[in-house]
Amino acid sequence: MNVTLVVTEIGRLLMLLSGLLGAVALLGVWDGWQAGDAAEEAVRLTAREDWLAAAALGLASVVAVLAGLAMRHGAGYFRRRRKKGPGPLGRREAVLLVTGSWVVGGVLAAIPYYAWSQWEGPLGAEVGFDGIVPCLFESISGLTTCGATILTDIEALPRAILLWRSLTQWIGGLGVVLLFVAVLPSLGVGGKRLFMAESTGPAPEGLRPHVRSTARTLWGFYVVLTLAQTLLLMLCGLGVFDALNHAFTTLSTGGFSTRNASIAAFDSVAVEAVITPFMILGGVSFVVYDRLLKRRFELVWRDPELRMYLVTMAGAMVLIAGALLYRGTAIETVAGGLEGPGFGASLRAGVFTAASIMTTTGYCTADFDLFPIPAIAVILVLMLIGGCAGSTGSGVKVIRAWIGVRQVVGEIEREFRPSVVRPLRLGRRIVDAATISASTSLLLAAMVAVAIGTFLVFVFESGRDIDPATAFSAALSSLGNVGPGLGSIGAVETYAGLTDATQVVLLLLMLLGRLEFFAVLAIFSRRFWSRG
Amino acid sequence: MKIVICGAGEVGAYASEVLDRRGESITVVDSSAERLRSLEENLDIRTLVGNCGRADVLAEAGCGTAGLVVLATDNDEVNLLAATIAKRLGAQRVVARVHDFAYIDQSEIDYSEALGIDRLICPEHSTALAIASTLRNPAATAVESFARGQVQMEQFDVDAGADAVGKTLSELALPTQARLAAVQRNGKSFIPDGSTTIQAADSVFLVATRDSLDQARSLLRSGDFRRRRVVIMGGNRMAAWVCQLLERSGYSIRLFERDRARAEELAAELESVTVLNADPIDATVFNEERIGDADDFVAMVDDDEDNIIGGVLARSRGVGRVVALVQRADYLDVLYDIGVDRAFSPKLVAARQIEELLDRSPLRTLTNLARGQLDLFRVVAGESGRAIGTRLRNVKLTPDWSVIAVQRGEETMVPGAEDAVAPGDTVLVLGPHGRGDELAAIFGAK
Repeated sequence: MNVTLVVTEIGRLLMLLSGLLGAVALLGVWDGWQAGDAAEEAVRLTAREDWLAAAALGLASVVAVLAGLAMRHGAGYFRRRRKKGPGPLGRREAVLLVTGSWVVGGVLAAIPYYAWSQWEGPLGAEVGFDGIVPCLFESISGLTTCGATILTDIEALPRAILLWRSLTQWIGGLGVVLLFVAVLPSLGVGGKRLFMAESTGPAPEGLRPHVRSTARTLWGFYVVLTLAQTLLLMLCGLGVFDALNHAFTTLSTGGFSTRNASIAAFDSVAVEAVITPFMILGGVSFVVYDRLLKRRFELVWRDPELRMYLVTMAGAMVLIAGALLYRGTAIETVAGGLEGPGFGASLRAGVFTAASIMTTTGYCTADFDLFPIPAIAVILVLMLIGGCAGSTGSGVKVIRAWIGVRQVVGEIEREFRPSVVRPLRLGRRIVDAATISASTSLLLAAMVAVAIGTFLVFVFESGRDIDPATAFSAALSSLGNVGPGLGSIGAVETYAGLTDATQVVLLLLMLLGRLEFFAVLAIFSRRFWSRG
Repeated sequence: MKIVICGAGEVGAYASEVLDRRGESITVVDSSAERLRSLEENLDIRTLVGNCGRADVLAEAGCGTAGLVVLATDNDEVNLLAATIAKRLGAQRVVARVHDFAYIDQSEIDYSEALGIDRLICPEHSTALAIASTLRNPAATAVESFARGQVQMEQFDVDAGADAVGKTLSELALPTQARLAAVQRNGKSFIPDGSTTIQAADSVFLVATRDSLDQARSLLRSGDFRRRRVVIMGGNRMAAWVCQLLERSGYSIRLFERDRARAEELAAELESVTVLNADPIDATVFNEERIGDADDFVAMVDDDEDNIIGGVLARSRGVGRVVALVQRADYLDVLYDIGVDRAFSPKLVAARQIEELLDRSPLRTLTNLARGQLDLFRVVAGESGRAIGTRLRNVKLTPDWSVIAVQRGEETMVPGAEDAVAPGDTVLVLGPHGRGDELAAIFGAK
């Protein structure tokens, strides 16, 4: 294990992030300056919050630079003392680097929240940044694109902090390390290992012969689509700030909003009509975009996972809307409005909710806690399945769910016909035994993680009577990086009421879910560290 | 004629035997002296030990003056290379045998044209085609295929429930690439025209391109539309081809292969086939899979005796029909009597395909049908003749002739009344027995 190499690279990542923090801090400076010059007294009073936000982000930026420099030079010093070269980036180093980057990145992203809330005084604790754990929860929830929040009053936060919050999701959506692969000098085959360790899905596909150009292509799609969505949202009447923030958190399937009532705050069919397709795009493999760009429509049309994803999505939309319509449920929005019952309201709520949950974005318009039970059952299944492999969406991925189901069906036939040879097919491709084993192992790991998570939530929340739906959905939603759950963490609620211990459990689940278990769990394996 | 045969394997040895019987002067080249010795003991041929891929060996064998060079080594690439060299050396015609169908398939590139080879043959694929045609039409008493299976002719009985019964041919809208070549009624055969009314129990000769055959046949047979159950024993390349040819035409196919690794390969290749890693002759497997209820049992392992025993066993336990792959010609006569309904031999197919090349006369009787009443002729159209360049509806063919297929270049079609035969076309004609000379005159064949 070449720890010094990993430390050096994490040091570089920190310096890269420090630049982003500094840029966001400038927004705080601008806002503070503007507010200070404002005519109304009330606005002038908010200037202090903006300046503090700028200072908090600036502090984080400085900390990142210093830590980065220390890590690089410290590692270099050790290497020189042991007279060793930097060495290659092997599989172990890649795993450690990816997991390490996410943990270090999560801690760094929490610094502005914590510093701001400490300097701000009572307001900081009031909005939800009540101590170190909630800040860390918010930052990990951001980076993993979970979107669960402990904030009780989002709108009271300065704009710079909100922008940073959305930006963490935007970076985390494609991957912290992918950013780094795209920007930093070529890591050679090591970069490929990093990409494999971080990408979602059973068999990550490179788009280009060089992993660096793959990373750049992916970021290219990401930036273009984000800009497109920003413009469309502005056409729907949103301000630049709201439009940009929501674009950051839509395509990354994150789900942080700048409004307390999430998307319901805009109460606009047009806004939902823009956000829904972009959420769905976020849940699609980026390989598909590349094929579209290369005009290989046939391949896209035949892509079995894409088909299953879209069919499942459409089916879920129909089921949820149908359940709402059949039961005659009136839609209560998160903003407190009441719509329906009726065809239009049911369809609108069904389409948006299904897209938001399955892509693991977690935006809310309707309070789905009040939906009829069949619709809630569909929502829970969607939380587990998630998006496509190679997308920004999380969950176990459509392809793995499909492999799992087919494996069970195959096992049924082998029960009465042991000599049959029937490979598991995905479209025309044969899924090899290693992929089947890895996928079913992940499905199993996900189920075990949800069970243990639910259990721990019960244990740590034993002080207050927590209902099973809350405990189960908290674990499931965190692991699937969805965001909202049911009951006391439902669409109109936040995670603020949970104890610190519960929050730690949930943020670990988020990391496990985003990095798909094995890269994280490997760190705890004795053989991973052994030299022999 | 001087003939050089490269490779003294199954096909090469059998081809030299057949050609030797015709009295041709044959040189056989092979890298194994031992194989050549056993061949030389039985046949009046010259042998030469050497590598067939080398120009000097081929030249020494006499390829430069040969009328026909047959490349039949075990290696496809050597065959292709040697065929090209032989052609360059001056051989009049060269034919190369290949195992891999990719070389015959012309979807990407026409190998024979690109390499200057007169004919590429793949006897295994031709055999698979023949087996698939047999399976496809269980009622057929005769199946013939032409132009590498592009056009097929089947003879079967029209049954009482069919759409066509009671209709005249002009009322019956057969697909454009299909036609009734002949009808056999009350023991007499005749060529139908638009006013012929189809009757139940007519035995018809249906000719169609591969794509239109199923559609045309469905008009003439009410058929039972139950999925036919086919059991294939052995998973060699031919078995895989048979499966591919039958795929998507409503068969329930079970393929038994004893080798695990090969079974996995087959399962990956054949999506709609159930591949089992077991021996169908094993009593437990036979009962559990209820093979006795199958409609067809195809024995295709590489051992003749296993195929025969397997087929006989399956037949005795209730299988509807047994088809077996048998390499050795010695057995063919007795097979029907012991319960094997149809036997196919790739070696015989290869020999027939090579013999066809030797035959350069413009008129040839291909086969004899309907208890000897009808002959199937192949005519190469000459420059002038009554039927050349005239629409078929205006050509008065007496006695009753039926033009069933026209091959022009690489394309083969079933002609309609508005089509005409051009000079150089190869025409397949069905007509009364023994009247070939008149036919040659009509088509100007010399």
